[in-house]
Amino acid sequence: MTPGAKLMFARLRAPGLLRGGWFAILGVLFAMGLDCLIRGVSFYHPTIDDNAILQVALIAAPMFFLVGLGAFDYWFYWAAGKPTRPEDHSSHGAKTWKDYFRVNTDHKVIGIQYTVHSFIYLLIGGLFAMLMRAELAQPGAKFVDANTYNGLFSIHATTLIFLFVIPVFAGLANFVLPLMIGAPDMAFPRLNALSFWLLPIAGIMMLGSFFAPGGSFASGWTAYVPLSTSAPIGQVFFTLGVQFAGASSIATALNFLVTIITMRAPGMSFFRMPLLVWANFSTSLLVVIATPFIAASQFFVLLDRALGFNFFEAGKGGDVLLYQHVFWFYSHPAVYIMMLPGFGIISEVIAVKSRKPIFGYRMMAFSLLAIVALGFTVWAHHMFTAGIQPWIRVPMMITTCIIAVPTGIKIFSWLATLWRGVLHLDTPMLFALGFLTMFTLGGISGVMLAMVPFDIDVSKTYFIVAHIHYVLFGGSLFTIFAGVYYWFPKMTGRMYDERLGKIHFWTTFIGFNMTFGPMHIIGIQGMPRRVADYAAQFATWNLIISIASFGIGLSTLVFVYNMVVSWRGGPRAVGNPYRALTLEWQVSSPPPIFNFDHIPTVVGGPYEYGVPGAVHGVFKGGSDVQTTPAGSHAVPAGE
Amino acid sequence: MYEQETEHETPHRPPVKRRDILPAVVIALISIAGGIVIGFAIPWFPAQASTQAKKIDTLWYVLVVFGVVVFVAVETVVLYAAYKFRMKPGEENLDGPPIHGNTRLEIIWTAIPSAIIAGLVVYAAVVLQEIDKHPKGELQMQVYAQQFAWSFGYPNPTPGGKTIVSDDLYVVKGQPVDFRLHTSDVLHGFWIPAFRVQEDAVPGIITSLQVTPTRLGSYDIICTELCGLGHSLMRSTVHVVTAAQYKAFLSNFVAARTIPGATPPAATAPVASTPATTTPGTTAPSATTPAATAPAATQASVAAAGKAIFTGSAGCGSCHTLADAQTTGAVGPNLNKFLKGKSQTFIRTSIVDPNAYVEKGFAANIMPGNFKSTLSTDQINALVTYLAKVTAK
Repeated sequence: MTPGAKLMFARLRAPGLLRGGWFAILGVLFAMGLDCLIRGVSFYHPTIDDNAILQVALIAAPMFFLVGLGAFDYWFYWAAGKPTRPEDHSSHGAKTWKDYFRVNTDHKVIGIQYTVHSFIYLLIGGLFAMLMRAELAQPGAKFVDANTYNGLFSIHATTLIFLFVIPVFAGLANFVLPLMIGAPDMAFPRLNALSFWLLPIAGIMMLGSFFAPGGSFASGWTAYVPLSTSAPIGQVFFTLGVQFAGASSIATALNFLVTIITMRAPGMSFFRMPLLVWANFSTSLLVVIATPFIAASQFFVLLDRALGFNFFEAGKGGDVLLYQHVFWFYSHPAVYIMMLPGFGIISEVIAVKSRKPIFGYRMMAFSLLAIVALGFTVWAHHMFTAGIQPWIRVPMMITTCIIAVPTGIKIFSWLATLWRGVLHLDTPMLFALGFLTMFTLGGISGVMLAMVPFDIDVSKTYFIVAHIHYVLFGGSLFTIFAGVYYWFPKMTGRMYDERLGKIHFWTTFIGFNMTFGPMHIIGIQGMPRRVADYAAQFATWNLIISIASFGIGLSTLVFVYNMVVSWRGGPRAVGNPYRALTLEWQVSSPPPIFNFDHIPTVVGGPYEYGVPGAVHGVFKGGSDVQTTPAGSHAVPAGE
Repeated sequence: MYEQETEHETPHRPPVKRRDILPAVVIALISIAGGIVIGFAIPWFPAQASTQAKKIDTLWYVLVVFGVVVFVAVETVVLYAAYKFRMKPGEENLDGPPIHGNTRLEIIWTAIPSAIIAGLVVYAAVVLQEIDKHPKGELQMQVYAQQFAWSFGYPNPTPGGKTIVSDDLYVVKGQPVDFRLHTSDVLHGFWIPAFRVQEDAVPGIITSLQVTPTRLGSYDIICTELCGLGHSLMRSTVHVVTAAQYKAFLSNFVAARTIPGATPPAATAPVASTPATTTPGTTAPSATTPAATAPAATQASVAAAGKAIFTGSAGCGSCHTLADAQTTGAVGPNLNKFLKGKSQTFIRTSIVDPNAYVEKGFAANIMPGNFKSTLSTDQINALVTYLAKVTAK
């Protein structure tokens, strides 16, 4: 064998994307073989069935890909009794950009993989929204046909929920959470790597459905039966894509729980943890309890479609409403999965940028746990007009409204934290204040919708579209922007452009309100959601909404430009540009490969701003780096 | 903790005095008043046409008042803090006072929202109980949903008569109605914005919805549950009429279903029996070619009736292009093109069983499959006669 051929074989055999690629092809062949074999020996006709092969391949190919990628290598060696590679940390850290495209066990690399991957889906999901608004700019079918339109809003919601909001929070927390609690990494680094690599699979599957025969899945992100059980094969791309995204969520949540419970630095009691850690602790509880329910609901759909199980076939003893109950038992808690980590980010930003301790720290932590518990008791408020038993509506209205109380406590505590602070109104803080404004509106419209008689009128109209965007865009996305700007120096070692950041905030804030504000009105006036066409009376508002939404699209380009250019050539960031007390700011930017040269000892609360000389943690053992003390409320020295 | 700051040197910032906050409070009160005025001035709702609508609208305006108060209160603090407490030059290294909490304040902002919410929940529960009531003398009507059309079943005024089924909904002003919702395929949402009520039609069960119309007029019926490709086209109209008009509608409706000449006496014999009673080799009078046996004058009037059905009650033109009827729908095939030279049998089958033949480039299950029940045999015959006539060349 020539040296060149040897090298090529070595490359093909080495774990990585290349091996992942040809393993995936093997997976497809395996699916074809398995399928034809089973159909052949059972005398099914035809023996080769495209749809059957496709469904098996959608499960097999990703699994083969992950094996090829090397996500299971260590475990396979260990299970086979082979000597595992010694802990040389060869898969840890990133020296070149290529290290972001392999199985990497460094939580900081994984955090960036997660975050960047998620933002790609923000742009894709946003692009689909632009296409929808182009269609809706004028009444009548103008631009896309009904099937494509239904596909656009289905994939818009699916990508932004399962591939943007949920994973981007996991990504940000992946980067900063171990640093915040003084841990060298996550508890299970290899599981962490696997969690990330499940996501591109889910993403490619969702987008790939556009190429499926019969078009993409088009039954909404809710995939209600029997529309989804009778839809063309594109539906399966959702059914199975969700499984991979869900498995990723569950694995990450378990990882967070174990990390938070077992890997806190000495002295880091639960009530000395930063609120971001509390928020991710609460979110992870929600994820591990709730996510199996959506997995179940989609497996039911798969079994109905592929094997005729009739879980949801009304004529054959199935129950259509069963699907909605199981689906919302996950998907309502999912709303909090998409919001609680944002609450954590806002607590960090507001405390640091107001230079004040979080007002009512313990109530902030308890209210998170209250939301977790209550979040499981309200799912049927999505079903007030679905034909459920009437008596359940009032109890679900009561529990839904009770959630407004802990949420209100959080809002008021943030306001009290602002009060008499020294507000640094830079980009993260502007997004935090924008969040307070818009999330309050989303909360108010949420309480309105909880009122059953009002919901009976506007359920499934544009009022709902307005409400969820005030919560998920004005709420979640604004906290994500706040968090990305806030930790940008820590993650990249560079400073972002403050002026562009402010332009991004104001254009997004104005564009957002002009887009989603009027939707409240047209919803109540009688425009249903999920329609490609509408009555002429709504034409003016829809044109305004479409133009404003393109404004949001442009403002996002400002953000992307700022991020890319600053990452490549922004000014170098110091370790602690904000004089923050929490531990992630006490190390260099970006942090050293194992986070801390000396594990810190925590000696006080995370937000003791204004207590002169107070520190959150100290490095014992003669580290060069010393932690930043809080400032004083008295006259600064030298004045 | 709260008083700790006084132990240190002269505070850099003086504490906030009551008179500093006063302008903000005044602006907030004005904003609340303004917000409520705007909230009441926005034309939120379409026509208010049922007793339910009245109660729900009142609930909405109560919610608007509370919403404005809460939002303005939060926003006042945000904007006041951003204006008054922002970092000024020279304060780069200054921290705020280390205030960690205030139990009394926290109790207040837990208790007050709880009280407001408890009040609203009780109020909403009372409204719900009222709009769900089954008043005496309720009339039961059937709502049949299917991809992508509505039809409505009325009790036949003639004792023992069959249920009357129409495409538009007619209800009597002041007459409480109990709708029973049926679906023959997927989920559909039955919403009448003017009545402010909706409910899903669910496969396998019959759901219901109560409403008492209070205002004469015609209002939209909209499908709110995603039901497939034609979801945005799944509309109908409800006509709130007087009792006399309703009675007239029912009798006219029955009459309209009989078109003189559309079904000649010879063809009224059951179609299935035709082959048995016909000698082989002779042309049988078949139901599929009714107009062929009718005089030319009748044929013209039948075709005219067919045109009226095409553009009117059956609503074919919203999806199909047909030059003679001047319709330009593009959801389904262009009839001028695709029906050219097709037999009457083919046209009939395509109307009553749209999935029997689906033109290339179009999907199955888009065209409603219920024309057999919403149109009478006479009406279908007229439609077939008309389409055959205008697409022959």
